[in-house]
Amino acid sequence: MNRLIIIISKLAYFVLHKLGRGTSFPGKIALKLNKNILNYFEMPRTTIFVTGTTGKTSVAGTLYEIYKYSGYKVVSNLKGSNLIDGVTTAIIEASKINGKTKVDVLVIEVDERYVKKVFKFITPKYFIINNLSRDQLARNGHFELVFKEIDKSIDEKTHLILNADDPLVTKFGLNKKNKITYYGLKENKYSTKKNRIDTLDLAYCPKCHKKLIFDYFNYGNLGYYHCPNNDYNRPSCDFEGILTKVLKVENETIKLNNTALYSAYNILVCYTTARVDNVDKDKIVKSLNNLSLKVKRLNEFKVKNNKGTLLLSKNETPLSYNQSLEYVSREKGTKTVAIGFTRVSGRYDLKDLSWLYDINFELLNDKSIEKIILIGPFAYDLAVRLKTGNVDPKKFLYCLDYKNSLDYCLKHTKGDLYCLLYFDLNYLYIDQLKERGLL
Amino acid sequence: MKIAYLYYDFLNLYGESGNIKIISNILKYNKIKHEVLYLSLDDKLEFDKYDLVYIGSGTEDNLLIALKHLSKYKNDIKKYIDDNKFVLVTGNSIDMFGKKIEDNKALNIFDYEVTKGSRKMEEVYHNNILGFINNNSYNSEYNDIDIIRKNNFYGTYILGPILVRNPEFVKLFLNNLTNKKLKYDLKLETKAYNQFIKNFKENVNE
Repeated sequence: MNRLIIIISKLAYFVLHKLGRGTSFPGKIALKLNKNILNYFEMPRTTIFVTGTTGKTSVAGTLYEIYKYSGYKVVSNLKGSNLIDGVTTAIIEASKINGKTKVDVLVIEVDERYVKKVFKFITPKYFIINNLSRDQLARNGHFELVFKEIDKSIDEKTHLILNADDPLVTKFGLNKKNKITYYGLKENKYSTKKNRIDTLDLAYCPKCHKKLIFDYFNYGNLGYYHCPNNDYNRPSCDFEGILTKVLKVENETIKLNNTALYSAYNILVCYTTARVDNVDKDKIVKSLNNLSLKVKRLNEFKVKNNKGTLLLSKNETPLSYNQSLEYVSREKGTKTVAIGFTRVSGRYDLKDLSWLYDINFELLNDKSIEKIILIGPFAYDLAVRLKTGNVDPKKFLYCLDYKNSLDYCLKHTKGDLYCLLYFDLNYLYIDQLKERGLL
Repeated sequence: MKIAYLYYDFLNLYGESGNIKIISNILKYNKIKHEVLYLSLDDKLEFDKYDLVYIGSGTEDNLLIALKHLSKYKNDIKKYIDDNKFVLVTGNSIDMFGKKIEDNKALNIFDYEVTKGSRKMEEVYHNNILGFINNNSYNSEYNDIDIIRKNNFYGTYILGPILVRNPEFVKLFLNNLTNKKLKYDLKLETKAYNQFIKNFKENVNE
C-alpha cells in the first residue's frame, strides 16, 4: 500500500514539476492516504531540520547550496511549504518507492508550529533553532507556548544547533542531555548598548527571575547577556563570528551580500552546521563565497533617476518588520517611505492591530525621510501608529486605493523610494513593476 | 503627575507601550508636567506616589510571577483604589485582581475567580470600543468585552493599545485623570477609528 501511495505522489510530483510548479500537493495526497506515511521512510545519512521565527528559508537554502557544492546528493523543501505537506513532499522526493533514501542529505525548513507534528515521526540528526520571538500571536499564541511545544518534541538523540545570543533559544539547552553546539556573533559596529526595541521577549532569568544584564544587543532580543546570579548566562560559543564588512569565523573569511545582522547569523549557522557535520572546510567557505541566493525579501528597481526598493515586511512579526525599518534608516540620501497592507494576515481574517505598537516605527522619525505614503484600508491606523511615535503627520500622504498605489508612489516620490509591504502588496508591486519593465 | 507603567518589560505582549505614549503625548500637548516610571520585578513599588498605574498582558507563567511580586503590595493596592486613584489594566493582567487564578491566590480586589482553558480570539466592537481579544482566561463574573470598573479602576481583557484606537475613551479617561477638560488633537485617531468601522464593522451588529 505504501509503495502505491509513493508512486501516486511521485507521479503528482513529476507532473507538477513539469508544469513548473513547486508545490506541497504530493505530500498532501500521501498524508491523506496514510497519515502515518512518514514512518515509512528511511532517513539519509544527514537530516537537518531548521526552525525559528525568521531566516528559516535562507538557512535551508544556504545549507542546500553548501552540500550541493561539496558534492553531496541533497533534497530540501525550498520550493514547497514548511508545513507538514511540504515536508512530506520533500521526503518523498528524496526517497525511492520502497522507502529507502536516495540522497545523502535532507535539509528541511519547518514552521515552528509544525515541529511537533513532524518530530512525531522523524528524529533528525541536527535541529537548528535560529531565533524565537513574538510572531503572529493570533495564530501561534505567544512564544512561551511555541517554546513549550517545540521543547517537548525534541528527542535526546538529536544534536541541537542553537543561537547562543538569543536567550529564548538557549532555554532549549536547559535540562537536556542532547549534544548541543552554540553559535553567536561578537560585538560589532552595529551592536548597541541599549535595546533598540521597546519590548524584549525575554528580559528576565528563567531560573531566578532576576533581570538579565545585556553587555550589548545585536538586534531584537539577541545579544550578550548574563544573569546577576549567574543562573543563566550566554553560553560560550563553539563557533563565534566576527562581523565587519565580511564575516570571520575560525580564521576564515566569508563575503556577505549585505551586512544586516540577521544575514550574518544565517550564514554563521550554516557554516556551523556544515562544520559539525564534517563537510570539507574549504568547500564550505568557497560555497558560501559563491552564494547566488536570491534574497526573497528585497527587490530593487528604478524610479525616475532614483532607486526604488521593495522590502517584504511581515505583519505581526516585529523581529522581521524591524529589519526593514533598520535597513531604511541605514541607507543614505533623501527618502520616501511607503507602508501598507490590505490584510493583517494571509491566514485568517482577524484584525488585531496591537502588533503595530511592538514595531519600532520610531525609526521613521528621521530628517532624511521627506514623505511617508500610507497605503490601503489600514492607512489611518498606520498614521496613528506613526504619530504616536512622534513621526510628523505633515509628512503623511494617504492612498487607500491600494490597487493604484504603485502609480501614486511613483508620482509622489522624492528621492529614493522604500516600500515596506506585506506579502499581498509586495507581490502586487512585483507584478506591476514587471508589467512595466521596471523589474 | 506620576505614571507607573508596571512590568513594562515583563507583561508586554500586545503593543501596550502605545497607551503610555499617547497619554504622554496628550499631557505634553496640554503642558502638564508628568513622569513615566518604568517599574518591574526588581523594583520596590510605592503606590502613594503614583497618580496612574498601568499594567498590560503577559504569558501565563509571567503573569503568576508578576502576581507574586504584586501580592506583596496587596493592601497598598486596595487602599490606592479605595482612594479613587487611577488604574488601567489591559489583557489577562485583569486576572490578578480577582480572588484567584486557578489555585493561586490573587489580589482580591474583585470577587471573581479565573480558570484557564482553551484559547479564544475575538475582534471587539462593543459599546463603541474597538479592540481585540486573545486569551485563555475564563472569568467567573465578567465577559471578555466588559470594562471592569471600581472607582477609578478600569480593567478589560481587550488587548494593548485601547487608548490609541479609541479617541473618545482616551478623552474620557484623561479628563477624569486630570480632573480637567483637556485640549485634544485627535483628528487622525478619529479618522482611523471611523475608517476601521466603515471598512470592517458597518454591517456588524453590536
